[in-house]
Amino acid sequence: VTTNDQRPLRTAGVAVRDRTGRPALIDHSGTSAALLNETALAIWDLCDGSTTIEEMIIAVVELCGDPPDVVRADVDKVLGELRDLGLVDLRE
Amino acid sequence: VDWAGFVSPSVVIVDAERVLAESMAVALEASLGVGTVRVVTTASSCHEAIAEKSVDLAILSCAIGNANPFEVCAVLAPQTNVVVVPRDQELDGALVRTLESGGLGVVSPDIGVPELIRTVQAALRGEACVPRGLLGEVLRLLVQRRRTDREVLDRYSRLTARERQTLLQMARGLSNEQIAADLVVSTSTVRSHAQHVLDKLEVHSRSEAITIAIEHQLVDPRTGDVHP
Repeated sequence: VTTNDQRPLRTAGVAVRDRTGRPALIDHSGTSAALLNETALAIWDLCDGSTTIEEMIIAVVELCGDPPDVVRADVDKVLGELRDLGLVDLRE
Repeated sequence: VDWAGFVSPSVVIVDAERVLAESMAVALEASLGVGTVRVVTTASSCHEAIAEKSVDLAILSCAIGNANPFEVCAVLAPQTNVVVVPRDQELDGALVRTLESGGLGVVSPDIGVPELIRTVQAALRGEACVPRGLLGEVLRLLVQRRRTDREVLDRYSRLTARERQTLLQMARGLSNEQIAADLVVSTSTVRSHAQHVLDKLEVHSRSEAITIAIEHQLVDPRTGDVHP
């Protein structure tokens, strides 16, 4: 889905938490757009248009200690879903 | 309870504020079992406790006298799981420093006992301990740190072999005269190398160059290793 050099940018959405503390993104109309886990929320938060996908993967690997190919697949999945929801632009 | 192979876990809490540490120990022993948690108040007594009996997890408070908890973490981490309990206002920075020191993460000081127990159980399994809501901030800090590392390495790559040797000797605390004797060159040549080092690393002082060199592991004054 993605390449290392892409610099995803948040295009819509606001991060909120429900009463139990579970994170979610809502779009600007206030409709719940996506329920996330903490890692997915952190990835979305990194989508500032300047951080490359490679940088995201290296940071997650460093933090979690998971193998890079596993992290790569997870980041791909999260960004793919966020893009499909119109919340992230996967630009070069 | 998932002990992940630990028949009876052994935990040590290091905190100069004994009453807080002992309160935490009581709460943890209610879950982990009586006699599983020891309390010490200094870094040196922590090392003694570990030498006496191996430890599965060390919980380091930031209040451990004059010792730097992250340096203590770096010493313990290769053999022992370590988490740090920072002061609340420095949570994100402490988390990054703990991870860089080889620790598993931090225990937020404002959590309740049930979450403390869950965090300790995760740490005993060797899992990363990142407080909820801090993950994004930490990832951003890690990204920034790696960018800085890359920039410093780019600048360092401009140094010649002689300039790298000069940087190493500077980090060892040698004067220009001593470096000249070591490299078998004149003092003015060393002065020139040293100035090039400062220019290429884009710093203004010798101490700044040494700090960058050690922080980014460009040179190791103890072993004499120089980054290739």
